[in-house]
Amino acid sequence: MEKEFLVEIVIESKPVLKDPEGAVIANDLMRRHGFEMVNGVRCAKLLRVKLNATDEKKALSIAENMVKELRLANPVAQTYSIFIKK
Amino acid sequence: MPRIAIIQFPGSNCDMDAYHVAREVMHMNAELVWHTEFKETKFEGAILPGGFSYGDHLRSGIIAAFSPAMKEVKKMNKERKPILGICNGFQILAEAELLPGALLRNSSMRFVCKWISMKVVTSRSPASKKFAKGDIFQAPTAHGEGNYYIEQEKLRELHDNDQIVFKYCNAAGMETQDSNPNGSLDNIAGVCNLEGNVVGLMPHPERASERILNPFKNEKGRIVLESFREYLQGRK
Repeated sequence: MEKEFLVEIVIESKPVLKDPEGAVIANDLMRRHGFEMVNGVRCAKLLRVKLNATDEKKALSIAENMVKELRLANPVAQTYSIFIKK
Repeated sequence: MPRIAIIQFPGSNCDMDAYHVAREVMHMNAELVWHTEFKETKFEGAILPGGFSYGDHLRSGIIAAFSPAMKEVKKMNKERKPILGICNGFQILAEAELLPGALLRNSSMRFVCKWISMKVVTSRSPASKKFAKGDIFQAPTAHGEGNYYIEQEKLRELHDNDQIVFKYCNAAGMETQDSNPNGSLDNIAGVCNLEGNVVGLMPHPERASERILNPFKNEKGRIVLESFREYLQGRK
C-alpha cells in the first residue's frame, strides 16, 4: 500500500568551492548589521518533494535515483543530502 | 549547402540573433527549429543559442539538457557533426555532459553585461577554425552564471587534450583577473570536447559579427561563425 512521503533534498556547492552568495550574506548583511558572531554562511537549495511510495526506504531510494538520473545536483560542483520529513 | 539547426528551447531568446548572423551574414542554410521537433538526420550541424531556457530553474541549462532535442544532439555528436553552444547553449551542453565542467554563478554575484576580450587557445574547434592560436577578439557577455569550473585533475586533462578554446584576457592578450568577468577557473571562456566537434563559449559571437554593433569598430567576432561554416564545409 502506498503513502505520501515528504522528502527533502538539499543541494549545495561542494565544500572545496567558494560560495559567493553565502559570503555576501554573511559579510555584507549579517556581520555588517550587528551579528559579528557569524563566522560563515553557505547557501543551499532545498527541494521539498511530495511523492508516493510503499515505505520510507523506498521513498529515500526514489529520491536518490532522481538526484542521480535527473542531475538534480550537478556532480561537478555540488553535493546533496536527502531527508525524510516526519 | 549543409543545413544547420538553431534549436529553440522555451526561454531561448538569442535564437533570432544567431539565425540572423548565420543566414544574412554567413549565408549558411540555417533553420530555427523548436526543440520538440528537432531531428538530427536533417541537419549537418547545430547551434544552441543563448537565453534563459526554462527560466534557469533549478540550474541554468539543466532542464533543457533533458529535452528530447538533446538526445538528438547526442546522436549528432556520435557522428562528429559540429555543435556550437552560446551562453545558455554552453550551459545546456555542459549539463548534458557533451562538454566537460560546469558553469556556476558569477563570483561577483552580478549579472555581467559588457564587452570582453578573448584569446584563441586552439583552432581545432568549430568556433575557432579560422582563427590563429593567440588571436585576440572582443565580444559581449550577458550572463549571471558563467563561472567555469572543473575539478583539478580534469583541468589538467583539458590542457593536455587541447580542449580549452577561448580564455578571457585584456586587450594585450594577458590573462588577468580584471579581464575575467565571472571568476572562471584559468580565465576559461570556452571549451570543446575531446574530439573537438562540440564547442561552447559564454560570450556572444553573434552580437560581435557585424561592424555596426561593435564598439571596437571591427568584425573579428564574425570569425567564430565563419569558423563554424568552414568546419561544416570541411566535412563534406
